[in-house]
Amino acid sequence: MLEIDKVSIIYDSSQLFANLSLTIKHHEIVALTGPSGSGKTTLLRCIAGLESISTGSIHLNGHDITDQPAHLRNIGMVFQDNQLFPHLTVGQNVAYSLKIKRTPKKIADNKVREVLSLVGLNHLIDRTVTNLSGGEAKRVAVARALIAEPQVLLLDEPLTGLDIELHGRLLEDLGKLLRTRGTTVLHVTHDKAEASAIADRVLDLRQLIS
Amino acid sequence: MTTIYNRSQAIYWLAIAPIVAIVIFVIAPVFNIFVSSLQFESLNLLRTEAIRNVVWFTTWQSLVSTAFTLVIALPLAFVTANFKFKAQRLTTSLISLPFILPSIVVGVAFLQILPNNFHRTAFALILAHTYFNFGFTSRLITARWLQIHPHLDDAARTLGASPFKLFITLTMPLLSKAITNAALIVFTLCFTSYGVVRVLGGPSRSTLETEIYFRAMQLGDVSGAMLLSALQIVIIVSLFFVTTRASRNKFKQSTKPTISRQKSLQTRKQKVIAATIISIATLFAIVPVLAIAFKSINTNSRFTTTAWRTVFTSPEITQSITKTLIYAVIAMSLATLLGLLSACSVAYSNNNFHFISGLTTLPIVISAVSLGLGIIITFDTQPFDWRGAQFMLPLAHALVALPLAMRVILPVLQAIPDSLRQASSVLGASPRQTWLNIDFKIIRRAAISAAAISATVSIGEFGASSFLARRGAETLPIMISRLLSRPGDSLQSQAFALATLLAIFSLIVIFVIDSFANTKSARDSHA
Amino acid sequence: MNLTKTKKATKLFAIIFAASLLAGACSNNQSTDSDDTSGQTETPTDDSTTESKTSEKVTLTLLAYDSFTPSPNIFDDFTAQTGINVEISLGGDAGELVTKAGLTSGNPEADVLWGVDNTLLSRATSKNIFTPYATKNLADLDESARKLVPNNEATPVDTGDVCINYDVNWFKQRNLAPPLTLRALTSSNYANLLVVPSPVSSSPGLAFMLATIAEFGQDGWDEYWKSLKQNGTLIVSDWTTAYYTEFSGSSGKGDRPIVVSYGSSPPAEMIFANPRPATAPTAVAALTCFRQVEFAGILRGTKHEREAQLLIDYLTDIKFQEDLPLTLFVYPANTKANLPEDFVKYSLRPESPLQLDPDLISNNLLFWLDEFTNIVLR
Repeated sequence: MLEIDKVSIIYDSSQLFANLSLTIKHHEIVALTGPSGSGKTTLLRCIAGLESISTGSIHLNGHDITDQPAHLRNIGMVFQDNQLFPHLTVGQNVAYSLKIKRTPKKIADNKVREVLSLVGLNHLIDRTVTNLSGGEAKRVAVARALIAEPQVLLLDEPLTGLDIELHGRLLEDLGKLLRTRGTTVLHVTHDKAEASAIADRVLDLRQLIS
Repeated sequence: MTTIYNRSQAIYWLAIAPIVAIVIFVIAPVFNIFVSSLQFESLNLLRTEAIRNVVWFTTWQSLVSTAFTLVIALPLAFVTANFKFKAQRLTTSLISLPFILPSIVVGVAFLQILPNNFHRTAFALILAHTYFNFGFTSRLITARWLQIHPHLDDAARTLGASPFKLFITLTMPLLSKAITNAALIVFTLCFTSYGVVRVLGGPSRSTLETEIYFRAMQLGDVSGAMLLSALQIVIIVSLFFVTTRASRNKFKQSTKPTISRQKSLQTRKQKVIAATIISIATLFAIVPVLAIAFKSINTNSRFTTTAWRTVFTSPEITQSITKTLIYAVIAMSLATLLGLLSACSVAYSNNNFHFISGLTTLPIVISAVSLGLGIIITFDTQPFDWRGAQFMLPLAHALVALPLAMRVILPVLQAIPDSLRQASSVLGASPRQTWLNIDFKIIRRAAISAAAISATVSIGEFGASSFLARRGAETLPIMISRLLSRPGDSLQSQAFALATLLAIFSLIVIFVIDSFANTKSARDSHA
Repeated sequence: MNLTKTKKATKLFAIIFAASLLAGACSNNQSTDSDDTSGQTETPTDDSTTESKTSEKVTLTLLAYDSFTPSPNIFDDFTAQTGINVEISLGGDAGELVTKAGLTSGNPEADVLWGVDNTLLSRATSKNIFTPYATKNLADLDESARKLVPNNEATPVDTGDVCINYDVNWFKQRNLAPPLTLRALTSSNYANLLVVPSPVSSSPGLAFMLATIAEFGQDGWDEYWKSLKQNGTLIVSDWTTAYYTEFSGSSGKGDRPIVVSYGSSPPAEMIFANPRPATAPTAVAALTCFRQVEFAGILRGTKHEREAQLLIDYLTDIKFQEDLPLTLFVYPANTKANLPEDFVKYSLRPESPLQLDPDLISNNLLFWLDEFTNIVLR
């Protein structure tokens, strides 16, 4: 479980928030709402280890990860603009974390196919990532993050920028996928409706600041 | 790459100017001199052991120089692309300095700095080559690195990539094209370098270029020289062919991200590493220049400012400075314009005009001797008797700068996703308006960079233009070379004073152009 | 779609390419045609047109090597006397000049060429780059120089010597006698003291090599160089490095007190030293000198032959000749010209310097240089 304790973040010499506390239990899907620019993305980046916090601590399963570098935290993140690696195919993107861990090729290939079929994109396994539609790209990003079996999965405004028609379908599929795998999730969005769609709990950023 | 411009006929017109310029002023003259001088007997040259040794030496010396250059340029690019620190602009300008210095000046400077047993060694030669090239190589790689969205790195980190793994699996593949391009240019420049080899390599080391000069000028064997020149071209072109085949652009890259990847230095480890790399690089760039400056005020172990006083009061020298400036402005404008046109025609033609990329590289692939002699025998009849014409010099400068100018602009152009243009035309903009608002805005910074590089090439150019007859005032590098080869301490000191002046002056030019680029792009990102 | 575009592009390129090749080839043909006609038709018409042309200002182009630096207004008198302007055009070093002149023979880039020396003379005459002319000052010119151009193909304008120079103080301090002959340089007394620019890349270096061939003959000179090499001779690429970096007697304060340089180097050291030393810091070993002669000539195909002749006359006149020592550091070919005091005092003109026939040089140069490379540079 993820414990964020009295965290303050200073970004670009202005304080984003002070004394923020939040706890997420195993297998919980927590949604965090708040207006744009309130620091939600920055909070996610701090949890992932991509930014540093000024005060407070972060604990994961009892271990203090406040100063641990991002690549050791096993906290996955789906970025707002996906950030798919342009030089790799869909399959290679998804396989990335396995390649880093030096997973044997056969096992990796199987896992990739498995996860891709979970997001319904098996037919795109060898496609380059540059011409994917918004929805397809998002699914690849999710697959890529999930395959690494992260302790916590961070979703940064997953539906922003996608056609409204896709929203419902994507949320439904995402919710099913995450529940089945029992992933612990922190879902950040400015849209209250989106927040309540799949979450166990919906929190407002402003409430968490003491 | 298909763009909305593909339907426009304008693409063909874009290609005309650069093609015509290269064909008329590079290909035709060289073809002419080859055809009129080459004799069958000269083929025997290729069988001699001497020539084979020369080819071997030229090749391995270029390879090692290129490797050393990358070894210094990569860490430097790493620091400049990923961090922001005080005096960053000054550093960037300083490392661009070595490239401009005329080769004889660098040669003599290194002779001053290096201990005696390093003189006339391959090591000195390789060191000098590295000195010339590490700065612009670093800038080329940095420019590309800055295009990699920092969040890509972040994504890789969240997927478990350590800094080392990140570099290998993400950064290197994305940088590989820029690195290969830079490496090819460096290799070509080292392969065809002349002045440095003469001064530092010593009499027993000769490269193809020095052989070509020797045969044509000292022996009068123009046929043999042209044969070697043809051999030189074959070798370099093959290398280009092989490497560009292997690195065809398979993927689209994003344009300059709105989030800068340059972060301030935080951990102590970062600070120490950055400081070390930056200091080594800047010291490396400056020390030879300082050695030259030192020599300008120290003659016979005595300090005197006579040389400088002469420099500032001599009308001849003032004329030379003015002329160098004027030529630089002309060459810079011409090279940037042609570079822009070539880059656009390659980028917008769906790879049909890819050969233009190769065509525009010819000026640095072809031996300066062949080019110079070719021009003399080609433009020799009225109304085209341009052999002694004033404009030939800045034109030669522009042609030599063209490959670099184009290579700075092209990758930026190719990285613009067509969706941006489509969006613009869907909103009602004509192709011309789209180009001005989308493409031009994005490549403006690259164009300014290209202008800076072209200006520096022109200021320090010594190879091709030294074979064209010169009347009246001369450019600074030629004047420096003349002073260095004449007897008299005071003249030597004057040469060093001029070289120092050249360095300072160029530094200002680079700095100004760079600042201009920075403010422009700062304004753009706020727009 | 792609195919037609590629076809269009290739067509476009081919047309432009062919057009310019055609233009290039045509222009070259034109010049060779005019070679044959210019010699015959120009001379008769030239006299008549020159008279009408003296009312128009003629500008002669004087093509010379890069280090051609006579006094700035030296041609003012010429212009005042004849109304002809002289524009100096610089074209590289002497070797480059001759190569370029050879390639443009008959359609020259200039009117008069200054700077062919005796090592390059045969190359120049074999390419027929000059129009012969016997200057009015011919009788005053150095006799041995004149012998090299019996048909007045070119006109001698200055002479010089390439000799062993040595650092006087260095030898004085060690109480050693300086080397005075070529043979002496192989003595172990002078081990590791000599620096020589390579004849492959340096004109004085070449002159020195020719001196050794003249002295020891075509059969003996390689043995000589083997001994020089064994004796620790340092070979560098060019004269500037040898003299200004490695030589101890000049500003570089190098390690080697014996160097190949010019007979005019000792006066130069005196004249350019600031402050002026009391005694000459360097001296010349007169028995090691190789005579260099420089020539000027009218380029065949010039449109101003009569004016060019006047210029050659001026170049060999006393006024111009007396300017040469302190500007080009050579000796005037005109025996009636006076030398500056410093030259008289500080330089030694050998009476019988070493020389080689220009044709012999031209025919064997490649072979000799290859030999040299094999013996000394490998």
